[in-house]
Amino acid sequence: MTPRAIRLALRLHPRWWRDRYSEEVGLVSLDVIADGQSASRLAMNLLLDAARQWLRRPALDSPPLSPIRSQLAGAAAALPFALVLPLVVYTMMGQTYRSALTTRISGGPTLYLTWPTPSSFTGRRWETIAHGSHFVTGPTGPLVHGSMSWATYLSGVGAFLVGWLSALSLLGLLIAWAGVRYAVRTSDAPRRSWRVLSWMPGLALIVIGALFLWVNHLNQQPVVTTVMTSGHPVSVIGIEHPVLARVLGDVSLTLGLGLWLAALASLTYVASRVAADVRSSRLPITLSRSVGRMMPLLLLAYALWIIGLRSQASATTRGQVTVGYAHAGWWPAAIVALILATALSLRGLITLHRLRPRAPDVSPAVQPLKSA
Amino acid sequence: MARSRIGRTQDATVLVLTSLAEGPKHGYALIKDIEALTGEVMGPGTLYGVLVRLEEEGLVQSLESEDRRRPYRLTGQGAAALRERLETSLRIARLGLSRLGTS
Repeated sequence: MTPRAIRLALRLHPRWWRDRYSEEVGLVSLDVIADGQSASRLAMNLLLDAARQWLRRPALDSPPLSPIRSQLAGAAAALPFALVLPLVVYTMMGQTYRSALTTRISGGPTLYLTWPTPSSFTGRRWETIAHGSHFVTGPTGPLVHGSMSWATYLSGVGAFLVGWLSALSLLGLLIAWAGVRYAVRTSDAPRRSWRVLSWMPGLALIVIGALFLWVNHLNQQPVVTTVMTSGHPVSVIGIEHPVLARVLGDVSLTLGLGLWLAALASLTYVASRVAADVRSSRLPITLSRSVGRMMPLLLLAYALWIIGLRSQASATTRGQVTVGYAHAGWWPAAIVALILATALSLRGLITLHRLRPRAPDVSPAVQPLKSA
Repeated sequence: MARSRIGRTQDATVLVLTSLAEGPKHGYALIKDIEALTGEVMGPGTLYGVLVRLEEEGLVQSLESEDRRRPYRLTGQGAAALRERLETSLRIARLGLSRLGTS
């Protein structure tokens, strides 16, 4: 039986190494111990090798340009999108902000794919504006005009970049999903569980999309209430459904994150088991790898967005109007999510790096040395 | 005289390649052969650290397992690399010896 120290040292190797060498090295160690070598010395030797193997990239289990692995790497790199976006969107939902002129500006611009300008607010039609004791209603855009501070602009640029890059990374995720679906379809003996699990991303997309549209719809419904100000009844037109939209926002955050994680876990599980013969086109592979390489830019965009939001939280004032659409209380959570997203994205990039093509062994025949 | 140490990457690589030049061997046979060459036991961690790298570089190739002990053999590329390494060492050894005035 292999001594405990040897078993422990073998177990400390990376998984790819254990799968390939553990049993073999264990047997060799037993032989060497039977020759009278010290087990503790061998264990130390194996421990040093474990450290070496962790520090180097494995190549034996990662054939070059494996489409499924490339696509999964793309999916892993797209994970930051799945994790961070719902949280950041949530920080911008249903919050109330004050300004010198307005009684309240709730929420902020939707995640637009346009360069940040006051027109980013045009999706929000009306605000209640107070001039002293006189209340009027008016469009939001002109209010914001002239009041875009550097922080507002910075977060707007971040949101712009996040919007586009997220859309592109979502494309990578969909490609990864399509790759796994193709592998399951073409598998010789597909299991029923593979078929079910491989549809998880689709289910997640549908549920999250439906929730997002519903919340957005509710937020666009004008809600007219009457308040008494200085003894006069004043009609206040809000654009937010205060209760249901908030509840759905919470639900969509929890459910959305859970579904995304479940979808990615399912995708990974199925792809690791299905025998894929995907001599597919170069396009999905190239796109997946491009998504992975795009991730640092996406993380930079997130950072810009969050820094901008954080800066706005301390009341941005330009002239007589103060406009902010950040919620200070959530920024630490957003930073944590950003760190997590960075780690996951880097992991995806490392996987992509491992998948780079290698030169094959072009001369496998043994040449007798002794004749030389 | 300083004691030689097996495990320095270059030495271990040359020793493993030299051992395999004789023919395919599994891990334990490699250790015994290297012990016969150098008088020292190469640890399994050192040996497989070298084998993993050489296999990735295409210099050695694993064969079908014999009762869970997988033999390794030198590839053509590995033989060429070993020959080049040994010839360089030989040139340096000859030059060094001539400079020392040793016939």
